[in-house]
Amino acid sequence: MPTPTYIPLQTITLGSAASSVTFASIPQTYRDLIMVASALGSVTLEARVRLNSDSGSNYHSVRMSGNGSSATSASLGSQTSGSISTIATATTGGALQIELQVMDYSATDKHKTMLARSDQSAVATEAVALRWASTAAVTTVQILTSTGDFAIGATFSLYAIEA
Amino acid sequence: MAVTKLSTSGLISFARYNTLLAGNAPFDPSSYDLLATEILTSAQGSVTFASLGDYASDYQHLQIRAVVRTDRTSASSDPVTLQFNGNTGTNYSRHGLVSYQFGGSGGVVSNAASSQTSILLSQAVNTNGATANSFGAIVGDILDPFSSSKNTTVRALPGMNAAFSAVELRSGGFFNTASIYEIKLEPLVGSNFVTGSRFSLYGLKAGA
Repeated sequence: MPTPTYIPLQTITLGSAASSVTFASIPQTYRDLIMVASALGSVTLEARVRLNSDSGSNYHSVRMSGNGSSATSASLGSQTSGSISTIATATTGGALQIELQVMDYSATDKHKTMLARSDQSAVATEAVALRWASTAAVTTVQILTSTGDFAIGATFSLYAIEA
Repeated sequence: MAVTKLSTSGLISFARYNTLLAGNAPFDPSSYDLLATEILTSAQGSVTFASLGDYASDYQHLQIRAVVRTDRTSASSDPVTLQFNGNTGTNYSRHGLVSYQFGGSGGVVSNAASSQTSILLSQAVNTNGATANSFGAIVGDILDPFSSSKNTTVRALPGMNAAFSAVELRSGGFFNTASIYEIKLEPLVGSNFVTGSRFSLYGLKAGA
């Protein structure tokens, strides 16, 4: 019997610039989370993710980026947050678009694997795979910047998927 | 959809409503449904979603979401293959754009192969040679699988992180116009998907 899913949990629209947004008290009744963001920045910034407020060196990522002149690969190990987009977003022009998949977020027997795709039409496109080295179920998802703020009007939506 | 109990709907209490919903929530038809899922409770050599023809009249596209680890021990990564309809002929193509990192070096590579016996849904998921409790992830779309006039195309976003790390953009072709009624997933090198691996199939409905 098909089960309707892709459940909207929460949307945050910034009424003022902020360096982070947090989705808290995430229900544990689903299997995957999808976070979709559309944001300009107060300065150029890198978007990152932190789960369960864990600021330990538990985040690992690998990315590929293309900007029209080169394709690059890079990895970051033992970070205090996970890098989900290094595409610089600026105060005007095309917004940075991010889709972050948090797989099996409610499982307690797995490190959490995340997949991110981000784009800014005037700058670059990027794909990232991340691992949070913890088996804890995810109860909060924080999206933050490496520097500066997400600008007023930035939107962040969280969806849940059943399995 | 929440349904108001008959005893509180007003039909019995004779409450008066301004709409025909009479206390019920509006019907909001979903366009994205979970069709089937397998969470392995023991190691398993393959995972098959069968009888997909049952969904042909309701859904336009399919999506696979998987969290995967194989029992390979000779390396920390293992590809995952996909076959349709039990077809083991050389009727598949594979393309990949792969960013990988290992031991402080890596790069972005492109690969392709034709006349294959399967699609690579992922070139690299975690194995028993990788960090404990780490799994690879795959989100793959199967576009218009129930068409009987088109070859079937798959695209996927897989990724993994361990001593070897990779993120990919993949596509594959099945050069057969048959409507899809079965999907089989297997590790390419390992013998089994390990306990805890999870495979879910979703359907995206067609518009009216």
